[in-house]
Amino acid sequence: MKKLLSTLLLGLILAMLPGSNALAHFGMLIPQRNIVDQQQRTEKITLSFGHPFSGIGLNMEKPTRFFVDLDGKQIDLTGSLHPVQVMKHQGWQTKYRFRRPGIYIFAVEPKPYWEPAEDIYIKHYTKTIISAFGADHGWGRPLGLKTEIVPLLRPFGNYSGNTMVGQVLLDGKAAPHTEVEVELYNKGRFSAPTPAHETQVIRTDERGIFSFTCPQPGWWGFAALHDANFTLPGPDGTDKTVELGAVLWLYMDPWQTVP
Amino acid sequence: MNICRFLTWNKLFPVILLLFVFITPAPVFAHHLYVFAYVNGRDIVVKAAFGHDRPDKNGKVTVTNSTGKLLFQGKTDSRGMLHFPRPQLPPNDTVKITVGGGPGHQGVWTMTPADLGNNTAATETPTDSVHTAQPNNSPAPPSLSANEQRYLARLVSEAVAREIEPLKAMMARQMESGPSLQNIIGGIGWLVGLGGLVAAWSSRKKR
Repeated sequence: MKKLLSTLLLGLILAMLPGSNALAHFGMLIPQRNIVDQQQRTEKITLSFGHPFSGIGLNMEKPTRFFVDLDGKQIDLTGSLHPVQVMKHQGWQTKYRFRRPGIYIFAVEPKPYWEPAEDIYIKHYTKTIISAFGADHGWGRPLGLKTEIVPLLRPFGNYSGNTMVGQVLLDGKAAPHTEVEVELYNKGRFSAPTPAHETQVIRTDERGIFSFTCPQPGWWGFAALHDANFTLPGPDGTDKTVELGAVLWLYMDPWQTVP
Repeated sequence: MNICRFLTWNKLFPVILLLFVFITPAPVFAHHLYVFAYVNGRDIVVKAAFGHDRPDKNGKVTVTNSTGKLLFQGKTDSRGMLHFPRPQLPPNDTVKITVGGGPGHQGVWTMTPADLGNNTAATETPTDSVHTAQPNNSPAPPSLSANEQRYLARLVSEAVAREIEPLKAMMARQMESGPSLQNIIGGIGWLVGLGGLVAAWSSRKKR
């Protein structure tokens, strides 16, 4: 009996092992809330890199560029970042004070992350969208990033159970038949039945559009992935593939009952 | 009298229009009214808009202080905006601006003492073109057209915003960071010093 148990256990461990390689990477750009009101005008905005469902962090270098786009005007915030620990690894944070109504689109262009396990560089252009003081117009504007997800669902004021619809752009053009990975920033709430469940995967149609229904409240990350048309020299000096990601984070609120 | 002659298009049109007025309010309710206000020189500027940035034209504006005392009443213009002189208030008082936008619509914005520039914090002035595009402020030399003035004002505002962004960030970081090693050593020094003074004083008393 004991032998059977230990064999089972070993089998289980072996079954889990390949899963660690299957974990999806996500650039993460998580504010405290995605709707700002008069009561709370300042928000901490946290930048990190890792596996949001499993809660495994990876060290993030100070990004190349971090900015906010307000009505098409981009304000650089890279200088305001200070290092913090996110999922036990280096991340970055800023405190941002919202001064007037508007749709604030925050975006980060990270330095390429060297992933030895996959023998590639990973560079995720990551966005999140905040509505301040009742503004509801202009959330669907692209920022002109190398690659990005433009939401077709209003990206704030959503309930869990709503369907995220978005369009993937690469070099400003719709990216058809692109794989989009989806993860919940789980924070230890749920366990995955199999490693495959940690990351949900969909593909865009010929117009670069995808949809995904978010069944739980929380922050949901969408990462549309492409291999770049350039390479970077790896630590061993040979050319390495660069995975470009367009990542968008949005929050699904729980339904509230009448108190 | 022939009923068909009576029901001419001219007469039916107002009836149909009225019907539409009664049928269509539902989507209007979906557009909430939001209000925003900021200090601009000696004025307070109010902006009221429905969803999709549609201005609340002729919106009734009521301004009160924290005790509900009426300070000002007015109406928004075609851009949903209103300027009124900044009221003289005690430093800790607030200004509550209520704007009506027709049946079922009301928006409120409360200006804190910091918003009003009544404490050490810098005056809250948003760095946008709406703020700077007020031709009645800071008159420029007459050689510039109104459009040029606006453009110049926007350029200056953007440049200032860009320049002070790192400063603001630095200040934010300073506010956030806890006591430094220097502060701690300084604090211990103070405690030791004060302890010494107390000891000296009490020994002198004993003698």
